[in-house]
Amino acid sequence: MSNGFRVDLSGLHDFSARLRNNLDGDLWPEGDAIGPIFQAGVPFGFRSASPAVQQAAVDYHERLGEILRLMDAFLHNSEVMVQTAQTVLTRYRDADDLAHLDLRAVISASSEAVTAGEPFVSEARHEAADETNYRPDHGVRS
Amino acid sequence: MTYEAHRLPQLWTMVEADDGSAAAYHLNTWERQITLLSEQSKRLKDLRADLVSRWPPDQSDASFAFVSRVTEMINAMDQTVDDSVRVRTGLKQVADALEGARKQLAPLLAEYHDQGAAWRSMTHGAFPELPVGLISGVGVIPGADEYVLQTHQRKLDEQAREIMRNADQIVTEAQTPLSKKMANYVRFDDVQPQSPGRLTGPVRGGNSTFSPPLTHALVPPPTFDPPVPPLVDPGPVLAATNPTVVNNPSRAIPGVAGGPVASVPGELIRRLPPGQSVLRSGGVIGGRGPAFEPRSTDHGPVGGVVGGLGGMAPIGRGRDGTSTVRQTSQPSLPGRVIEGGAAPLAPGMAGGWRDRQYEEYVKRRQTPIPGDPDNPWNVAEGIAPVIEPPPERRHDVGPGVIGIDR
Repeated sequence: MSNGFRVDLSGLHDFSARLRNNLDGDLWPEGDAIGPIFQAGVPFGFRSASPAVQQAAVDYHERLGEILRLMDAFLHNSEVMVQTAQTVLTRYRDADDLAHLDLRAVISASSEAVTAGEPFVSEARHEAADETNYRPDHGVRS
Repeated sequence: MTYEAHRLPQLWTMVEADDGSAAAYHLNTWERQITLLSEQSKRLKDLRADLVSRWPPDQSDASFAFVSRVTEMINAMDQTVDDSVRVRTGLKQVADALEGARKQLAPLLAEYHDQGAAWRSMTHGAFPELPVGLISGVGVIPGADEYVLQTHQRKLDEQAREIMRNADQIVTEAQTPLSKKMANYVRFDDVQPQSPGRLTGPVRGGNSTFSPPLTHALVPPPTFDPPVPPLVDPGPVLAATNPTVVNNPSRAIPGVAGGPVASVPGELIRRLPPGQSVLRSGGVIGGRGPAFEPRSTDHGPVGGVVGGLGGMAPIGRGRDGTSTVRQTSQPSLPGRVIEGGAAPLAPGMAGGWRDRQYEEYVKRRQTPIPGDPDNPWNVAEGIAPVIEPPPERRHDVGPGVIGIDR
């Protein structure tokens, strides 16, 4: 699936920020308003002797429990998504920082290695230059 | 349910609180819920599209996992919106049915103890083509108020039962949308094992303020407190007209002395043999109150009643500890309407219509009966009978009768 590595951190940041706004602006206030009303229970049939009405009340009671669980799940999971997005952002930044440090180390190590090897390289380069002074063609190149 | 055991007052109690206000509060809340989730779903779709363009899931496993969770939530929200619409529809059906029944029962209840309405109903039943403007709520048959009211109430009871049965039909239909389960979507925690000490409630705003999970406050299960139906369905001759008091355990069992006693419909009074008295509604033999059916002595003649009042009508209200039967030497009244009758003589005397031979009868009774006072049963011999009775037949008991030695 993954054909490469590509991430625009600003996209993840926007997602997290806008979902945060949704939660604070609408989801939580509405959830706080809606919850107590449904938690109050079934609003009909308290004095009814009808099995049909009583069954409807029992069914409706189950639906109230389900909608409250759903709202709870939406709120909870939205919060998790906001936090997950922030965590991913942090991890990517950390990963970038780590990558930057690693590169410097590599560069440094490479530099040292290059420095340490420079005499040998130079000698080899001189030997090669001496050999270039032998001119069997008496200085005439074709 | 047929509601046969219930009468209008109990049926009214069943729906009295269902005036639609509490249900309307829920209906509005469902509406808010639906709007909220619809809008949030749309926002999430926009967020997802933007995110995918900048963090393509096909190029990142992390993006794929994250976007999948967002998609799951969007789908659950859309499903919840559909389910919420369905539940709201079912609730509206139930609420409308109960509120409708309540609205229909209210005017019936207002007429339930209305004697005038009872008479109007009775008159209308007897003369259905009579214009409504001519129908009066005044009783036209003395002593029949109780009977007419009970008949009226039985009619209202049946109307109320029919209203309740119709409401039940609608409620039964509403069970289809109400009984279906909603979307199955749970917290991320619930699909993974929770870490010890993990917070169970959603954390609002990423700070340390915890909002209690909505589901932790349980929805109280419905409890039902239906009115108890009357123990006895009062028929036309039972005393109590208020079915709610029939339940009163302080009342004795019907038929037992001291308990509720029969009321006396006018129809029964007319059919009573002369001289027979009847218990009034609520009367108790030997009790303190008036036991026997009182009759007003200033009632005028009943117009158009062929046969008149055939029974002896006890007169006067009793006093405490006394029987209200008037052991009078006055003759019982024949009560037949023949011709040339007269109004009752005076207040305190038995009412009713008398034919013109009444005065002669009274005079005859006031004069001493001639004859042997020691043998008052002797009668004067008359002429030879024209028709002789048939000869007495011998009765043969036949064979096989135990105790007869043949």
